[in-house]
Amino acid sequence: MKRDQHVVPNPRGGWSVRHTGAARATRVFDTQEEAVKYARDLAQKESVELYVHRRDGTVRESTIKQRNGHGRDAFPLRDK
Amino acid sequence: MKFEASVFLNCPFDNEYLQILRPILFIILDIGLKPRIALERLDSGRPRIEKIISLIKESKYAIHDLSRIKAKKAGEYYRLNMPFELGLDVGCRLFGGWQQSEKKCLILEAERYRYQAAISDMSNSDIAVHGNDPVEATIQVRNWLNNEAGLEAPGPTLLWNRFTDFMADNYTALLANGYSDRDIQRLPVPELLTCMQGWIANNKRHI
Repeated sequence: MKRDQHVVPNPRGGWSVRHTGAARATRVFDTQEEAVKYARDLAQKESVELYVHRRDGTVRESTIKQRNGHGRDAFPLRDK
Repeated sequence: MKFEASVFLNCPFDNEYLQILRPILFIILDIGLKPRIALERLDSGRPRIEKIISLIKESKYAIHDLSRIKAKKAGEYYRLNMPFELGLDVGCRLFGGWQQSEKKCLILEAERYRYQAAISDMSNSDIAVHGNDPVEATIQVRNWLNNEAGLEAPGPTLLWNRFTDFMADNYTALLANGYSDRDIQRLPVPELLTCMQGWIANNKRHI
């Protein structure tokens, strides 16, 4: 399994940075912004994708989309 | 469809509620049960009430979300479908014969005690509060089903992490297949269920 990086809401509060398939978070941050910064550096070092999830688990942004330019909307959804 | 493994979901079907519905559907499937929902098939020819009664009769477990019991602003109608279907479920348990008497239900609400003012006849029922938070809704549903169905389900954090892994994989697959962000956000429930079932089959849990 490819071990991409994810920024996800932590069930106990804050935002987790974790690999795909990992049972535990690598680190937990108070804000999503801090978590994204940390996860972006890790993803670059490991040459893997980064997925930033919303509070409901949907994907807010990903390096796949940025690189390939897929999924452009005429009327993009606003983040919650 | 096995009665013992079926979970009837009685909840709003608006876009706002999708953020809670998605993880609940995933968790139910991932712990080995089968969510039953009026949106599971798009057969518009059949009267909705008939479909709902069939789903209730075929499901041992039911989750009734009453968080839309109160209108949000003046002039907005409160939603009666959910309390009505809760009543059908309770009636089925009481009057439906021996198998139906085993039925169990959980009431979900956004705020504690609010439903007691609106539907006080159900004040001794199992109730869980999600505060309109998807993670909390997932935890409450997992804990109730694990207890009532006598499962040995993995912890809520592991299940939530699997849900986010699914969402990322599904997002990537759908993007590659020509879906936009908006298409993915509005993926019809039957299509979403198919994607979830496929992902769970290909990504077995080790716990």
